[in-house]
Amino acid sequence: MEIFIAQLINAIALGSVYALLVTGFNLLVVVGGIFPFAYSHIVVLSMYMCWFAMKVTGDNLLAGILAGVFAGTGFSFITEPIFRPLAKRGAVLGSFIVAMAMSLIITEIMSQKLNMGIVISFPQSLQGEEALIRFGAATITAGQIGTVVGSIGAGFGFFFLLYRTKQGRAFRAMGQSPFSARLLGIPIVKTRIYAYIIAGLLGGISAVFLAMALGTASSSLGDNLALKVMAVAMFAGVGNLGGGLVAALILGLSEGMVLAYLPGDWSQAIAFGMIMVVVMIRPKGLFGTMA
Amino acid sequence: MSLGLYYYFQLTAIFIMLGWTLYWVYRIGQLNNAPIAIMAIGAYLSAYAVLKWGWPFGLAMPFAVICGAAFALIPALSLGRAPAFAMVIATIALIFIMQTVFRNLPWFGGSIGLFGIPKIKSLLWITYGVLVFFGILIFRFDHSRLGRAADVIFEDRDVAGTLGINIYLFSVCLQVMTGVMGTVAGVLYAFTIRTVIPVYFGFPFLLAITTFIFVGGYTTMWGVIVFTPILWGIPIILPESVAVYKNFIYGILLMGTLLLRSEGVIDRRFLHRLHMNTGIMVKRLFRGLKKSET
Repeated sequence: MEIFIAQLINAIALGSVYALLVTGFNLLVVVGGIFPFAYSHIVVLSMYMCWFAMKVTGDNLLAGILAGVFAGTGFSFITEPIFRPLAKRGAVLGSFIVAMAMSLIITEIMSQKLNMGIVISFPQSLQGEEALIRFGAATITAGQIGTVVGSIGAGFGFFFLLYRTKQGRAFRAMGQSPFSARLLGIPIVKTRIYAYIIAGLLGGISAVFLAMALGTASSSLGDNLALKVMAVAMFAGVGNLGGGLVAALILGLSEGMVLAYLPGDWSQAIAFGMIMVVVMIRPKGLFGTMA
Repeated sequence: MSLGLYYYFQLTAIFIMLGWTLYWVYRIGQLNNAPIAIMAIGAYLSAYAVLKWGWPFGLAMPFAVICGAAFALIPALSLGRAPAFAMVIATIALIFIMQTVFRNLPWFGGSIGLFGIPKIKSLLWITYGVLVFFGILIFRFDHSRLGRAADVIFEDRDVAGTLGINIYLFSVCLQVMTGVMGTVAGVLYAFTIRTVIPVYFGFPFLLAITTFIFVGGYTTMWGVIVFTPILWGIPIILPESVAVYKNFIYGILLMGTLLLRSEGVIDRRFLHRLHMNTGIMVKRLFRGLKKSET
């Protein structure tokens, strides 16, 4: 029972970060008009920036968090001009291939140039490993609580922006039909740039939470995360912002349970097996591909 | 022939085959990565049959091909109607599933894999024979009614449906055919490297093959033939200090090509112009010969 509780807590923490990641990913799909495979790689690069800032400033927590968030926002912003011509001509599969190329470049930079390709470990001050609540042998750490609360907060902030502001209406209009949005006077390019910035911001926040939840990062984490994010997006329905949140939690929970109760390293196969089954039964995802 | 050159020729041919597997299904606007996963099945099953059951190569290869084709049919039947994205993601997922399965099954050696696969004497001839066979098959397909049907599906699925083309059946058949090609490539790969480990059939492998086809040009079968030896050879020619950035170079090339020349270097227009220019040159040559005779 204690193992179950411990895994459940871990799964909820990880699932909430996945949810945040998928939200940023879906925003780029819906508003950016691209398939941002490299989004997770940008998040991992932001984790590296967070680590670097903390190393330079002598484990200053604020410097690390700010570096991670700003790096995510900045990196996402600078990719916009690269994808703009592809989004303009509606080359979504083309954007996927370009994003794959971008992910290759980012992974190569991380594996060759950053920390000489060695796995980075985040300082204890960021991970927050001190136990705040105990259930027998199972504990809830400050890092886990921070991750869940922070992710929920960021998610609420994003959905407030999406459903309660003028900019959010512009995003949703772009998601429905960029052509109609243009007719209604919505500045397409400007709205897309805002979408990249907000997706980057969510990515930067996810980077900090991932650093807290995982404690380490490596160059191969980008590919791994990218596939999980895509899998969650596919599971829910590509571009479905609300469905993505539910699917991310399901993936986090199933991964946690598989790690706890199955021998060997079957967690990836189970996660991707679930995606295969969903795609086979419902090609447009569990919740459909609505914006 | 030196060992390095042998590996270069052998792996180039296998990569061209794999490039064609992506190209063939992309003819109808679907990006199917399943052949990489099925390649792993071909490699593992043939290696297992030879090492554990003592089968000869001639028997292990058809056995692996039959199993690969049967396996290819399962995702093909359900992905035939799936949207382009669903297929991309589901088939990438399949690669990871196969990797995890082979890594966790003790019969296939786990993470260590299978090693000590015997050397086949005339493997280079077999590989190039198979390559030419697949090349002719794809060339004949491209220049047939089926090729024209694939063009219509690529341009507009609704029009293709109205014209009476069964898109689902078309997609399933192409997926199974490319599955067979992927299995053959896997068998040849296993007997070239003579070791099979799960890491070989992963995401970096897919990225390399994607680079070869999208830089070369995905609208014709020739792009892969011309650019695989070049792109695969670049890291071999470059000094070691630069060659370590192979993936960086691939990434830049892939991104640059898709942004500047969206259909790749060798597209249909390029082939058309090449054909025209060659025709003009041949005509001029003949005219010159006639003049010199008179």
